[in-house]
Amino acid sequence: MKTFPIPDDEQIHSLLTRTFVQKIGEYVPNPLDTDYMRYFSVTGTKVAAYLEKHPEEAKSYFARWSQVKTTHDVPKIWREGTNYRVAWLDHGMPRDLEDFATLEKAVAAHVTLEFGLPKN
Amino acid sequence: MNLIPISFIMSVFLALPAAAASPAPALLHLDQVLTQKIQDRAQGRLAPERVAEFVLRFRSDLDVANAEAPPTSANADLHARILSRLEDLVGSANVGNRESIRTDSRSALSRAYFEEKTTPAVISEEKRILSSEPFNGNRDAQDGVVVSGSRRIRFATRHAAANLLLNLPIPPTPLNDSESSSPAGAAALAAIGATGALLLFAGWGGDEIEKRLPGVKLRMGMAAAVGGVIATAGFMLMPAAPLVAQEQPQIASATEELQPYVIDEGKIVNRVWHSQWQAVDGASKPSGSSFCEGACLPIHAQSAIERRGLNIPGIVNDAQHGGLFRAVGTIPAHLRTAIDGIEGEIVISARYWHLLEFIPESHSQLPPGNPK
Repeated sequence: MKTFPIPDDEQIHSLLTRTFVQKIGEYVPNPLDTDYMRYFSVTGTKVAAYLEKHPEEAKSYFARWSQVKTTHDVPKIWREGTNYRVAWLDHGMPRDLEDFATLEKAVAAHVTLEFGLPKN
Repeated sequence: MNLIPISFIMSVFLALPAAAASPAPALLHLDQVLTQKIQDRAQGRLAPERVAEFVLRFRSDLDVANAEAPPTSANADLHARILSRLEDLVGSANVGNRESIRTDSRSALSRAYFEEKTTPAVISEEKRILSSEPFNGNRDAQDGVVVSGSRRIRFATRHAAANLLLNLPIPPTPLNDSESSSPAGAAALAAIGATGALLLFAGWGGDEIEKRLPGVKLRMGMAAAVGGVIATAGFMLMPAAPLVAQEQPQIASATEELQPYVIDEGKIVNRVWHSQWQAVDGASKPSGSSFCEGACLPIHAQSAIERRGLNIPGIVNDAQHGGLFRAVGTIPAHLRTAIDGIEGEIVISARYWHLLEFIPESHSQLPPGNPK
């Protein structure tokens, strides 16, 4: 078993690729039973900075998560014109709608909502 | 040679921006008139029964003055301030004592806030009142009350109330084409309102008011008729709108049924989520905006699904996991009956999630229950 903390880049990569359970499993024996966010210290700002350095991860994240059809209790990311938009869906109603000029910032906002990360 | 003093030229230039930012004289005049009437009312020189008469005339004058005023922020702010104070005056006439003026002043502004009609002017007026002498620290326990319709929300401190006002919720806009149903809904409301106004005025007291204010019946009748024509045109021009609303009724409900709600610091709310959320894209997770009140979880998942309306298209949530969250600050939220459910659902905007602290030891796996 590894010793906490999980390095920032590994935290972010595991959140982006939804492999954080496996990542936590490298540190604790029962990852599914843990309060996963206890082990994640990254912020939305750090995720955005990471994605600036790894734009291909932003693209693959968008390709996957913009396809989600669920309309309630989930964040949504989509493209509108030249901008990207992120919102929380409440029975199809977007709440906390935000516009972004870049894909990286939009993906960072989506991850922040998805996992309830602090923004800064 | 006649020289113009530089100080004079400077003073002209300095005065220009101030003049440009000043509200329209007609609005300023009405503001002064209203101030005088409020003072008269407070000192017993204006009888409650005369307030309605004054307000009716004043509103008419205000509409004219506002229509003629240039659309500047100064005019908009003053107009909003006048409207707020006018509500104060109406409230004082209803209650009938001087003490109520101060209370109702805050209430009217708070109602505007809670009905999401907030403007910068209302916010600044609310802050002014919150920081004014009558609302000082010594009276917090007595007066830290905000009124929303029939609800009275009591704050522990003035700071809590002020903090809430700094975190005003923003009304959402629809994501998809459901907004096309809004004009039809407005038209329907206008039609009902116009018809109701005619019936109400003609049958229940219209004659009595007409005796006191000659001509008002004709003016109200004309206004109602115009409203009815507009409403009818709305129905004729937008035949497709109701069809959209029928296809997605839950979207309209999500907007219309929200009521303001405040989660006080220290209060506990609970939430349920999908058991396989880590593996299923689009499933409900521990973080989210939907909560229920109280420090207890449903007896089983089936109960949560039925009571919280989780068994409708668009939701991936088997409700087999749940947990409690503690408010670490005062959280402005909204309350509604869960759509397709029966339990009260608290909706918290994402920007306030940082004020919720997950209680790890409360994380529970709920038994599935008895499927029908």
